[in-house]
Amino acid sequence: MNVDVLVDAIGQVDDEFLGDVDDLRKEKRAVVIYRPWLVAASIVLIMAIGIVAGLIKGDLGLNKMDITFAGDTVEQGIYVDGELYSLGYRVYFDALQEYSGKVIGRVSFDGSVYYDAFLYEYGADGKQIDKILVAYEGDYYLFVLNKSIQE
Amino acid sequence: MTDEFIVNLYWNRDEDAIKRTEEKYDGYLNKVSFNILADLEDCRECVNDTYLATWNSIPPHRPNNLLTYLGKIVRQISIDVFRKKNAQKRYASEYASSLEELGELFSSNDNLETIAGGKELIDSINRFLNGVSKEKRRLFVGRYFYFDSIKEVAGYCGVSETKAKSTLFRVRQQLKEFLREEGFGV
Repeated sequence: MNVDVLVDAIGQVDDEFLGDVDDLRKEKRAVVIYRPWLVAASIVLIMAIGIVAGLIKGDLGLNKMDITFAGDTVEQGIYVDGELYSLGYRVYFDALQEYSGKVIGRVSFDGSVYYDAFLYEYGADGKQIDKILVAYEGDYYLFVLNKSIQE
Repeated sequence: MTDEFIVNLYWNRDEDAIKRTEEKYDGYLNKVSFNILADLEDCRECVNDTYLATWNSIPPHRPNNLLTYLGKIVRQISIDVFRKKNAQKRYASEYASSLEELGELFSSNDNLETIAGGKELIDSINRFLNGVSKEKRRLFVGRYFYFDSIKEVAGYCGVSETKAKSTLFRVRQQLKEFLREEGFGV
């Protein structure tokens, strides 16, 4: 198929083009990490352009989230509102960078030590939580929820 | 830990190389694979295959940029899995969306393969990317190499999603015209 030939060729482009974009992709994460006001401003903007109701519903839903680890290790997954989600992947951040997105829940193995769970990505329509991050022992683990926000 | 150090581990056939690579780049590799497959289990397998392929290819290779070297491997392995399994699984991934966008460039009569070999096409795309603005190049590579979503690409390129979409549309048209001028049958 022609488009496959094109895709394969794009996969072999010069490293300099990729390196340039790699830097941007890292910087983008740094923006999220170092400029929480930007996240807040984005949320305000989203609200302003007409999905206020959806977002409010989202917040209400998020506040009610019940998150617990499914086993003794983070790899075994988490329960969110009783539903099991398996580990997506460890999220790549540069050393010394710290994620500071919105905490939407706390997660614990034993009820004594808690770890932050962050909102990572909303669905485009603002009615779904696509991904959350769990901060565990210095690393960030991503879980793909694709979970509708509760009414 | 520097990439050079990790590459030296591979050259010394030290199995710690894979562990170090995983520690540093596992998230990055999973992200690229997930963009293509949108399936966590398949994605995990592709990343593991990437570690094996890297182990088998260094040496003889000595990549100057380990990140992009790994990125190219995981991209191709994941695309191969997509092509093999898509008929059964119907992956709803960013790659699938990108394919539709790129597919709009070509009619069923176009035949890139018969016009020139793969190397000529790669060289042409490199020339094309050298000739467009930095912003266009970044959007194109972000979307069609890494298969990041329009939202993500727009985010790290510092433009709105609407602008990213319209710019990508124009770049695709430019690429089609460029390839036609270069003698490819599009």
